Amino acid sequence: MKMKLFFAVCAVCTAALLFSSFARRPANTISGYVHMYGNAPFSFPGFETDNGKRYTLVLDEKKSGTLTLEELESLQGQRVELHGAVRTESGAVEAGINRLKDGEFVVYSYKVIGNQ
Amino acid sequence: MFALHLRWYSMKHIHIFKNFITLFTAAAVLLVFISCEQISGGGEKTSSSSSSGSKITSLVVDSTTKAIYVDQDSNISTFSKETTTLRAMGTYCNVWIVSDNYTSGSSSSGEKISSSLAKTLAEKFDAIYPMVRKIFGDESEKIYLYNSSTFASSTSSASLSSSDTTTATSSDTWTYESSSPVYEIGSDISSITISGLSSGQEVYLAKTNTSSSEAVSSSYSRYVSEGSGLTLSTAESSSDQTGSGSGSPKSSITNFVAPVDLSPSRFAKGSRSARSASTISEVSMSDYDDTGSYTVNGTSYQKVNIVVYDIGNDYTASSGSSTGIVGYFYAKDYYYSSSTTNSVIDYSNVGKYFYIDAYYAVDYTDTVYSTLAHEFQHMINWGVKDMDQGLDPSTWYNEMMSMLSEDMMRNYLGLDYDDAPEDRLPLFERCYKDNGLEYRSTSSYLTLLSYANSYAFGAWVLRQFGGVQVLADMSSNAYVDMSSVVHAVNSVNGTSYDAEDLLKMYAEACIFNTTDSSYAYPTFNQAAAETLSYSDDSTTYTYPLEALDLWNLADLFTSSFTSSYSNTTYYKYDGPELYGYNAAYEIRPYGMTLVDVGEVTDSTVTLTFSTNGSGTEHLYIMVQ
Repeated sequence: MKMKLFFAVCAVCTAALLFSSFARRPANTISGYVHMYGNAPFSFPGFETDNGKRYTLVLDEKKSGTLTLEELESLQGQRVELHGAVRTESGAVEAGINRLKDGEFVVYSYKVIGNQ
Repeated sequence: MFALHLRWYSMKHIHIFKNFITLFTAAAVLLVFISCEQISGGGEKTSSSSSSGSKITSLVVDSTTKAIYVDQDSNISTFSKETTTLRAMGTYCNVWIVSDNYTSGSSSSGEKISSSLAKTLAEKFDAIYPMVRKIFGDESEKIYLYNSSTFASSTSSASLSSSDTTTATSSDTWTYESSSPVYEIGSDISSITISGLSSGQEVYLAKTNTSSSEAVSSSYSRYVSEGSGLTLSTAESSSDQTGSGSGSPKSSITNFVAPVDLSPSRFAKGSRSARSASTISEVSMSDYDDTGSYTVNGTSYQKVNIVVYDIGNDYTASSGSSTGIVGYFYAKDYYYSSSTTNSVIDYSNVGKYFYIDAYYAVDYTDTVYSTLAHEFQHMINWGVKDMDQGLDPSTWYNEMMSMLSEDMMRNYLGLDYDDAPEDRLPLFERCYKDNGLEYRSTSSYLTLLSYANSYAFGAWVLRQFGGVQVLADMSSNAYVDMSSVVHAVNSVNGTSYDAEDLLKMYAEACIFNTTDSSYAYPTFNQAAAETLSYSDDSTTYTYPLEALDLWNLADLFTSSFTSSYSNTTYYKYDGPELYGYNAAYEIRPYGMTLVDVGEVTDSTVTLTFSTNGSGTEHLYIMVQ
């Protein structure tokens, strides 16, 4: 009985972690190009990766430091690497408005790889 | 990580694993059940107009009022309800005016709109509404219903099939013929000898960038380093060519005509941060919108609402509008949520809405008529590209489509070119090289240039390839951005061009100022074929798109326009800027640099090129 209770608690905790929108997402690095989407004056920066994924770029108050979306927009025309986390299963930007097909990418930092 | 855990359990504790799976499944089912309960609870609709006050049962001009969310600051980032009154009602639209921006007098002034002007706006929109729909398609009759769970969208990706360019690239000699005045310089060519020339001819170099994403930096932009048999043009200063477009003015433009939905500064961090999880489903707008409908052939359509007020809350009697925003469409109004989302959806007016600035409506009324066509295209584009097809249009493409909507309606509305998108061409001619086909809003200069370049390209495409038939195809096809343009051109013309081909011909249209019939010069300077027409009981309209002579732009505009905007730092009326023979500026994505290499003095000319180059830069020698 104790065994079952123990595993029940474990299962609930695991499930909660897996399904929770608060689950930590691993940071990773993607490379590609910044583009602007949507109609003005509500255009927003998005990112198209080398393998065709497309994310809305968003910032995090705690993890993005002094980064601004304007700074990300200014990266257009350059090949860049973005370090951050993909957020696909929750937190749709403005609940679907300004949301590109593969979700959001929370940018922690970036590096300009250069251009041709 | 989850997969690794499963494997470990399966090897060492198979009996425990069974228990785990059983309990895990139960827990998951429980969680999903709870989640579903929340969805159904949150999705219940209690009122058809909960975000807009009590439901309107009948619409009466000068009597019906409605609380409508409008922006409150120059960043267009905060919204609150303002009381508006229905001041005019058309067949297809309502015109609502915020109380502070209404005058009961007979004439409008400042930022106060009279009933007479409201009525005129309704009449103008009524007139163009079916004409714009004929080309772009119908705006969506659905809205997104927002619930709590997970939202996932889908999209299709467009790919272009490449086709051969029209010129060879492997030879370093070329015999010029008047019937073939364009020659592509291959990336492996370091010098070229051109024969068959005559003294007095001009040699040009057009450099295009076929990348949609990556600029060609100035250090990789190839240029003519030496030449013989011609008088080279004035060399560009090397200091001008370092950095991004440093050869052109960078200071902010503060006085600009027709600044349609110029982007405000709206980059405050966290102002539009991520929200709670959501599910979005499409539902009929008529169930939520209370602003009336009209019926055609038994089908009911919701009316479009035009809200007039001081956009950006920026009006001053001395300077008019500081944000320069004439109007906008915001897709938030195509969403409905019965509960708070902590997003801009909370400020949805739930229906077909776009917004017009009161000051511009009074002082630049013709520009506002043009803006009606511009914003309505955005509304349609949102429906046909985003909602129906799950596509993600780039800003430059979306704005280009709206400016072409203005272009095709200019003649019907009887507008001067001063008040139409053509007024962006002088900026294009002077400064085109500083931007590509892209949208950059980090300065007023780049924002305006983004509009100018996008319009110029679209205006040429329509005049070159079949008028509004191409535009209609662009709007309805399953692509966006350059892919949409290329597919539409090929669909209408039975061709197999790719982006590289279009950019090459576009460059030709910007260089060749000639009517010589020996070569089919691409040109702006021909009226578009009138391929589609609109007819009703009283009107037939063929969407004329008149010829645009880039070398005599001053002829398009009124003398007051050209005198007011004659500053050649930003405007040019006598053809696109041509740079010195050794120009090596950065070339922006889908951008170009046009070079006047020099005047021919011998029958044979030899040109030597720098060796640095990039894969997406294309060089074309053009002789006239």
